[in-house]
Amino acid sequence: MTGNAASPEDVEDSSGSPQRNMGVWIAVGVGVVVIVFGAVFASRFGVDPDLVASPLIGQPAPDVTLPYLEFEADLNLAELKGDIVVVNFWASWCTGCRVEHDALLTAAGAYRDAGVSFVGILHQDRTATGIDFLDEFGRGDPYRYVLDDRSRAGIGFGVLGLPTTFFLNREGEIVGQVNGPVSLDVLVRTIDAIILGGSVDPITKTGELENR
Amino acid sequence: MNKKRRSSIYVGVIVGLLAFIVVGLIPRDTNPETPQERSHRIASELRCPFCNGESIADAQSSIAADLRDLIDEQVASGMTDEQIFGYYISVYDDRVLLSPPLLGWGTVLWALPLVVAGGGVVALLRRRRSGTAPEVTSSRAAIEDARRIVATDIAELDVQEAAGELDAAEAARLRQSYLAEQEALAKAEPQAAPAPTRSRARSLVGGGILVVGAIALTVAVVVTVRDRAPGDLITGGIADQEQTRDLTTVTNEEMEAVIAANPDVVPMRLALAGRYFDEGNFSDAVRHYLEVLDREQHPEALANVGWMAYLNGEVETGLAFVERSLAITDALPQAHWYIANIRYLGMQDPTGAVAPLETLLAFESIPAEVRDAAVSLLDEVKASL
Repeated sequence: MTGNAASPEDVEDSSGSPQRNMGVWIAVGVGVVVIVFGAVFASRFGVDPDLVASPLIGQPAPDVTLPYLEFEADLNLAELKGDIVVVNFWASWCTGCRVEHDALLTAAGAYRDAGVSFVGILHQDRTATGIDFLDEFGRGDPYRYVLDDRSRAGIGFGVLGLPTTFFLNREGEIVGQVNGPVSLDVLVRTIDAIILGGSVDPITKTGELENR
Repeated sequence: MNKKRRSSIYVGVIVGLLAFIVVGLIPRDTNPETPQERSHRIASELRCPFCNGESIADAQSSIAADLRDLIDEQVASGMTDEQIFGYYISVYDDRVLLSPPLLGWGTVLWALPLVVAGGGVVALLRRRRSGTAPEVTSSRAAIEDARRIVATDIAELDVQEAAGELDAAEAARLRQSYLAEQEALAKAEPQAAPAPTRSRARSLVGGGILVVGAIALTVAVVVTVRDRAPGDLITGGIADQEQTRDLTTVTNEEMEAVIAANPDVVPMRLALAGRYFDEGNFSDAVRHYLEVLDREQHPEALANVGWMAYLNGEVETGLAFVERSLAITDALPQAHWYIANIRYLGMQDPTGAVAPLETLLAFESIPAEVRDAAVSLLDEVKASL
């Protein structure tokens, strides 16, 4: 009777090791999976989505035609090809747009004779409130203020919030983007780089994007 | 051992096949999508880029409403799903898709559940294999037997002692030895089968094959399911009940007989009327369509009757019938074709023909020759404007 029953030591020796091996394998497998996924997700968390270059960088600017805010006519962006174009999306409800307004007016005046056009696209706003904003904070000279009719320009440029500024080279390609209020320093540096054929940062983040 | 393993393979195969069949039997929406349904579906698969992960269809912000308008326009202009999704990816990049694409890290995300499931299956098979080895079962049974025998011995000892068959000293000695044995047996564990050296490598290879197979199967299922046309089953386009009945081998006369016996069976009557209509036998087609219309306002019957009336010179009547069909549903491509032709050729109204032709061209499922005809008619109509 006792012959059939294995002693505890026998059991430990013969069956323990494969089980222990399997445990090790499982532990190693789980560890590898956890590390790989941890690395993947950690690397993704590190990326600020506002700092990921828009897929439009290096692409031709979208073909949009927008009505002028203050007179009866339309602006087709393609008309400005040959000029360097600064496209600024703004709205009267956007606080960052007040911060950057003076820098844009100053730059527009400074590059008046350098073949640089400034276009202010009033996005997600009404013409009347946009004009009130300009009355209060001033207009650039020269500066083209247009209305983003049904948000077609904002969608076409992949705008994720306000303020957002795009730089177009003389061929009409988008070469740089600034998310957040743009400063005179960034404007001057970027426009000079385009004029001189230097390299332009594809994406700069200067602050949080606002949405209504 | 072989029996058990084989039976578990059978179970696996059967479960797999059943899963395949179940997936295959879920038909896609049997009616072709209307343009509104299509733009809503597209909008619900796109993330509103500024609305905390909501879809464009659900988001409340005014820019989401502008995005929905644009999608409506893109759908109406006849862009394919791929073109529309491609546009939003080109503007907002992949993050605009609510379900991650099967590319790059998206692949890892999609594969994770499969890897976990595959690992579980491997672990389960390995445990089963060592747990069901015959050496183990026999030794476990032997231990159980030994335990039962010792218990019986002790019980008998009590009886014998009570009956005075054994003296106290002898009984105590026996009881002690039985109890010692019982204690040893209680601790005993069945001796596991020595792990066969081949099993480790084999089970690793087998597990690997299983995982790869599971992934391949799932990908195959997903691809097949995804690429089905609306209404098609996984085995091919046989979703509609009317289509599953193979009427092609039945003659018109046989169908007439069946319908005469069951005058209220509308689908059969519609099929026969459609046959006469296709053959150009309008008098029989009209007869059956009117019988159908006596019973229900069926859009196909209305549209075809209208077309035949128009071809018969009754322009106003024909237009009225087709318009009634369109009032019920705008999902019948031929109704848009009829109305475009009636307006352009019958009413000399090319402007009114543009919209129905554009609607017709927005259907994804229409045959190439119909599309060609619609395109050339649209060109002609536009040229005459």
